[in-house]
Amino acid sequence: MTAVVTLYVAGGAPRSAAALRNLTAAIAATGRPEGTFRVELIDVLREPARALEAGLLATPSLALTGANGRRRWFVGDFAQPEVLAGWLADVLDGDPP
Amino acid sequence: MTGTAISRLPTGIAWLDRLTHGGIPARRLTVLLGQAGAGKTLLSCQIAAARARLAGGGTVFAALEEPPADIIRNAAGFAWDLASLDGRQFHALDLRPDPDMVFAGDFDLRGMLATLSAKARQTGAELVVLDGLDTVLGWLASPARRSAELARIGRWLEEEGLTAIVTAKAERQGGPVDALGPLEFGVSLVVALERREESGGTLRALRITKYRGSPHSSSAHALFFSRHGLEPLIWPGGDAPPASRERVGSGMPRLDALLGGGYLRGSTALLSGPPGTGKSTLGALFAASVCAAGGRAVHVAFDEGPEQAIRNMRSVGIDLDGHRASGALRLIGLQPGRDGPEQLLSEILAAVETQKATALVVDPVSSLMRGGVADLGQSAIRRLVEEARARGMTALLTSLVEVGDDPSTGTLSAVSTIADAWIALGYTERGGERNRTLSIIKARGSAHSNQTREFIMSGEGCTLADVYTAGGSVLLGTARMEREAEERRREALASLDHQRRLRELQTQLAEAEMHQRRSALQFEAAQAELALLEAAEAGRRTDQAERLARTAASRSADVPVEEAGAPA
Repeated sequence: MTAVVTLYVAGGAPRSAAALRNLTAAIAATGRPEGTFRVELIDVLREPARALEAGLLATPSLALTGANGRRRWFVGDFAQPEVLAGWLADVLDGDPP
Repeated sequence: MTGTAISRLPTGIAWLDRLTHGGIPARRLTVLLGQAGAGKTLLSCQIAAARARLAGGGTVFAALEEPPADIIRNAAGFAWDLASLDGRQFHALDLRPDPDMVFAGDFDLRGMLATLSAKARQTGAELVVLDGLDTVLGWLASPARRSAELARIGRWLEEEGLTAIVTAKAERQGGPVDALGPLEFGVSLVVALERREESGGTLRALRITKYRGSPHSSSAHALFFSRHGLEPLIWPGGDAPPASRERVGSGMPRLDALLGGGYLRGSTALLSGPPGTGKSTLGALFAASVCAAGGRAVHVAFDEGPEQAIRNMRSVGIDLDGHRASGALRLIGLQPGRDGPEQLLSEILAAVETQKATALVVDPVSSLMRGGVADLGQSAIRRLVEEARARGMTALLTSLVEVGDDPSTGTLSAVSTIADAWIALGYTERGGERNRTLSIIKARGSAHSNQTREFIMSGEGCTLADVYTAGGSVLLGTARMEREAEERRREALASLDHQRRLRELQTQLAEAEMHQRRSALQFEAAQAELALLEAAEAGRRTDQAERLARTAASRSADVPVEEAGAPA
């Protein structure tokens, strides 16, 4: 089963690039099989309707809907990918910290 | 910022537009600061509703703290009906952060601005409210980052052509919130809302602490909640409409005469006096008179309540119940002390408005001061006077004066300076009885009488009576009645005297006439007798001559008749 991780960024700000880089590193750090997470990248400056749909507050933000159906939000540029990796794995298992 | 005048977006709230010289800065950021419960969210909703009414202007309302449903519910008690605007001119967005949201690393608010841009474009709204922005800004690590994000919002507004209001909690009274950072960045207008609980009332105030590019006064304006939301107790800048010359009957023609024709329409009269001097009666008389003349009145009975007021007034011949039944009179009982002055004021104004009242009686207005903060009570009364003037509604406010009260303090002095007219009711004690008096102390715009009158209440109604002065003091009650009786006695005696004299003269005249008539009759009788006498004498002479002639003829005597008669 593939879980969609939606990453909301605002344009090509340095924080956007850092967030994507850190997210990729975090997904690798979860040790889950390849294809477990699919990253969807949304630039809210190009697609504000998607921001409205999500009720977005901050960028970069990352949304992941877990096994229990709840959507969890992660806000920031995730300076520590290993911490994010732990959260992603927990949400995926439906047992948030 | 250029030197040219800033462009403003009218809020549609008349008093706020006046305080801000035309509205909040257009395409700029306005901050409403205040502690919890100061009315920040409510004022922003009020602005949204007023703009909708003003020109159908739409507002995107980003609820960052409270759920939109709660916000709409909290506004349900006000006249503007936010629920009916929901989805039409009021577009609420539930942007409350998920409590389980995880923060890691740096971020900015472009995501939120993108959300708001999308909503504003979708709805065509010009105004955006960010309710509780401090919660979101508080996530940012440093004051510098908060300032930067506020500046970002400022730039975003210019780019999108939107105007924003941000509400944020103040940590302490009057101080800017730490979460908003230095407000110099990006913020054009800062409005501080204050709320302070005092024994017997809630003091609310609004203060403009910053208005870039616009003159402003930073003085505090006392506020209260009416059915229109927050309103100033004292209308900013005042401009009362010119005083009316039209008169409204007091319900007592003689009082109208004293006042120069009645109360001036739109004016406020104070009726002061000790207990039982007829303040309530004069108030009810006025309300009933207005209703009878086709007007509409609100009568606030503080102490006794509506039913008691109706019973009391029936005993002096005033029918309040009939006017209440016809809808012309709204009689309300309010509990002083339980609610603060601002709450009582709000209820009175709501009644005046829904009743479309042309007259207001508040009996007694001192109840607005009772137990409350004196300043607040005074402001509330001032507000009633202003409301009356603005509506062209004639108001009568009664005020209790306890015997021995220093008249220069308390409600009386406060109200008497504000009121347009002041009628003092009182008692005079003399000869073991108390009598009610009425005198007009002041009546702006009227040539009024300075004389004291006796105020008489009875089952047949109320009236004023002239008073007599004796030895420099005014005679009332029994003393007045005795004086009146004495006058009547004297008058009766004088009248009797006149009658007698008249009869005497009439008799004399009649006698003279009779005498005259008798004389005339006697004259006629004598004349007639004389005529008869002469006729009889002539007859006798004729008879005698004939007899002599007949005798001579029978004797064939040649003696002349004359000679024959000579020996006789």
